[in-house]
Amino acid sequence: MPVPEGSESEKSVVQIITAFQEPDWASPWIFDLPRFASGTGFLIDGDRIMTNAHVVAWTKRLLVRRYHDPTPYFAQVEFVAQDLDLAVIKVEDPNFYKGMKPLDFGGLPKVRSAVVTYGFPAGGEQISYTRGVVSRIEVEGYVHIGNRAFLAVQTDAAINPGNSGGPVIQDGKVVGVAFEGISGLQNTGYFIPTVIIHHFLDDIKDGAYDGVPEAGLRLTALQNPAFRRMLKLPDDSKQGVRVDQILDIPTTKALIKPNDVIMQVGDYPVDYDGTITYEGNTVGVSAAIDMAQNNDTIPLKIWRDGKMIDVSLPVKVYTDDASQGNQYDVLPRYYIFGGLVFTPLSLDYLKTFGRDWNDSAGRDLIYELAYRHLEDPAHWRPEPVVLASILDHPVNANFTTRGQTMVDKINGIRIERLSDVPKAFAATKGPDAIIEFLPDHHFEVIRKDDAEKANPDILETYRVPAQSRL
Amino acid sequence: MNRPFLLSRQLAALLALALMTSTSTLNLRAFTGTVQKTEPQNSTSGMFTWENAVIQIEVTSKNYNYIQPWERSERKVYKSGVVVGGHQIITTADGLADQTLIRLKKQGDGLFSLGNVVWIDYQANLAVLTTDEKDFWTGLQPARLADPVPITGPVRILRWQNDRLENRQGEIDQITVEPSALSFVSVPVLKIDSTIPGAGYGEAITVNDKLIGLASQQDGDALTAIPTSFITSILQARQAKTYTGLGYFDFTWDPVENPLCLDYLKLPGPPRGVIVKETGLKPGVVSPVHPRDVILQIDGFDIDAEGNYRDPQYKKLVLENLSSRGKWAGMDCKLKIWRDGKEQDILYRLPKADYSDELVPNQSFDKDPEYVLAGGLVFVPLTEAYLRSWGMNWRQRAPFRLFYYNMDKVRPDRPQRVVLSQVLPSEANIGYESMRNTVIDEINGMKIKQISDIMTALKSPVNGFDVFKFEPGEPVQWAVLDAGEMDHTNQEIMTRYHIPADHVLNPVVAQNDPVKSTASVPMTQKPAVTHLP
Repeated sequence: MPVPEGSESEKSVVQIITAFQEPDWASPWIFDLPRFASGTGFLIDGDRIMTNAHVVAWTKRLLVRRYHDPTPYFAQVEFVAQDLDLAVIKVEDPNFYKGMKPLDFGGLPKVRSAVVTYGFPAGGEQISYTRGVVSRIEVEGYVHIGNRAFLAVQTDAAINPGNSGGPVIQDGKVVGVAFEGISGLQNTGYFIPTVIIHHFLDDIKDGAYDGVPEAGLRLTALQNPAFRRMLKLPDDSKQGVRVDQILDIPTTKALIKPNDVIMQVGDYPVDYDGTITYEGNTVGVSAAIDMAQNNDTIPLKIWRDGKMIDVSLPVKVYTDDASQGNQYDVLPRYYIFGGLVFTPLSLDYLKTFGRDWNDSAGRDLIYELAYRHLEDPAHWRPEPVVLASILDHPVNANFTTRGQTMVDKINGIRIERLSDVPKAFAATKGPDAIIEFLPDHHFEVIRKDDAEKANPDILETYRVPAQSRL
Repeated sequence: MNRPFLLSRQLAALLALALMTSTSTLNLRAFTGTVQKTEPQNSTSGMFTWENAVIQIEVTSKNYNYIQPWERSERKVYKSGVVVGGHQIITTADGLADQTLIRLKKQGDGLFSLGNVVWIDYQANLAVLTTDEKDFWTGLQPARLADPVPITGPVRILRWQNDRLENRQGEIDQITVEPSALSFVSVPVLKIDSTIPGAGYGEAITVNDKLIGLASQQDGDALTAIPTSFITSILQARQAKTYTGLGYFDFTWDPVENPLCLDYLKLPGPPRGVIVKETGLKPGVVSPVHPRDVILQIDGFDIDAEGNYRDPQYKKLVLENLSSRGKWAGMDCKLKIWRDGKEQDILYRLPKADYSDELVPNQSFDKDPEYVLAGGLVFVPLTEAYLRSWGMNWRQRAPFRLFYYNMDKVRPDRPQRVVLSQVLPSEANIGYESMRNTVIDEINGMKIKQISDIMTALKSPVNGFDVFKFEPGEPVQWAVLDAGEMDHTNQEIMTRYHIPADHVLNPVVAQNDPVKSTASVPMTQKPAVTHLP
């Protein structure tokens, strides 16, 4: 297949082979077998190789292979953006960079324009090119983190495992980084557009990656004529997106009200179907909000009480919902007392119930993680704790529960986060510690002295290196 | 005889199969049963034969579509019953709800008689049928009901198939206590191993010339039956006019596996009793037992640490059986409990089992599905029948939160959850058409505690607009419609989507009286159907 984009670009495209090891979130001192995976990367300014965050997640060793070069080069992760599924890595060996030119970035490609993806799909050692056209540009879920959505470009160019992190080229310039597809749907691949890539590169200029700030606004199209009349919008206006819900972010709650109508974000007027025009494309309004960096202020024009007002909305990175998404590169935390293994409730923990965790994990655990804060904030806890499992020992042998259940109180102290657990056990009055569970108020009793005596024995028996990782 | 009939969508696949068969009687649960000629078991005596006691029952009933609750189709089931004397036939209540026609057939003689329901109790899953056709009873013999029932040994399972009395073998596995087929209330059941296909619809479980149970459920080779000892106790109480419906222990408990838990509660001696977890789940009833009480004795029977008592007839049974062992709703049980470091005797009045005791009622009988149409927004109460619209695997396929509410509890401020099931698209509701299965919180500032509240709330629009607020966390929380156009829009949508009424609401049943609220639903309860002028 002819490669119209020129053979120069391919010299800057590399294969990345990672050896990675994931922890077991139900037994957090245990690790899976090391596994191998391969992805793609490309050289950018500053002797950096850009790739996807998911290519380098949980890596123990990174190898980079150059075009037509048998040498394996070792690399280190320099910066990683789990939310944007982007990373830059560096190779120590200066020989690696000889003869390689960094690729330049272009803009947002037009819908129906042609693009070529470069990469090493299915682990092959030869670079592969696939040509396609841009089918859509939309705000899409970024599945690596799982609970964020940003602008993404859909193409019919084949994007397969191994393509991840590879450049998508148009007119000799990088217009995106290939990153995800839809399993079972052919010819549907997605790449990360340069507006997102630049957001990442700008963010790390200060030597640290902060992340995309969260305005905390749930926005909904506002096309219903009765709703528009009630909000006193002019009859001929086709502008404005409605604030339907607001996340629990104090600065946002102070400045924005439900049913405010956002007429303009920065320089972008907002249409009543919830879109803006960005570089000639119609895209979701959140694309304009996501352009802000951490601690920026977003200028908004808002329609409220029948008139237009200007609001400067300060935005910050929001991590309170980290446990609702996939977490990487930070080892899961736990605390063990008398063989009782406590760990924070998280999506990663729920996934230990297996592929069909939606069915097999208790409904109450899923509700607690995903819905409690929204529907029942009075009973919400910042970090619900589960008794993940019990390491069998005579001290806990008579427990009715065997784990996978949420902890309500220990010695009467409400457990709001993992660090409350050791404190609550330390507060035991008398010989016994009382542990209460949810949702059915079952309780168990463990003899404190016996549990403390058993701790070293249990840790030794099950080869747990430490009683806690808090 | 093979009349065309309408079937529900779920049964459409079965229909295709059914029409290919040319049997004159179709048991929709059992096409494949091989037919045996029956040898009357005590034919040598010349007195009693089961052919004169087992009755085939054909029930036609209304089949509802809970997603489009104004739609209705027809459903037909075949089941069995047994003649018990006094021109009465006992059978299970299952399949009799919302019935429009009951036909009875005896002795496989090919002729049906019109039947009617004398008495039905869905909680207990029992019904008594009769017919006014005097000739029907000629030649029939009442069966004798075993009391107590055997708890081991072989049984014969009898039902009519193609006008022959099918006679299948089974083996009693055990007698145990578990929720009744149509209720959350635990009752005694016989577990029987048998390879009989498609059973669980009132088949007669017999030993020699005695009836020992009526089949109520089936799971593979495990057949569940209601023992006649339980049936007899209810029929006798009914005759004595002391039957008030099933009561239950309205608390949950834990077995005591961890003796330290009893130490903590300062109960001396060896482990015994069970620890109460949650109490007073029925709305409006103050529970005489409290969380962390230890239940030591019920009506003189010691409760062991696993929650069992020694039944004089059936040996080890779980304590729930004591709530229906000759006791009915409103009657008192004597409980010996351990509380605050000492033994106490208390009376526990059994609350009456009502489907409305649950936030998401798991059954609804003899009631049209309720709904309210508001500008194309279709509101329905959240019921298990609604959730079951997601098909066989509804527990996996129904929207997560609706399924979650199914284990949530009734609160005085929230007797029901009301769901926007769908939006019927029209010009007035543009922008809302993708909303579905979201729980409504408020309309025009008024909390929606039950579906009838919607009618009240819509009478008080806000500045000429109807403002709908859904539960936080739903994909969209707010919707607004023009209140002045509501009637016109409803009328137009009803015409466009062929909907006969803008709402169907059932009369509200009082919830506070634990005994008087009706569990045995009157068969003639009429829903209030309002047509727009």
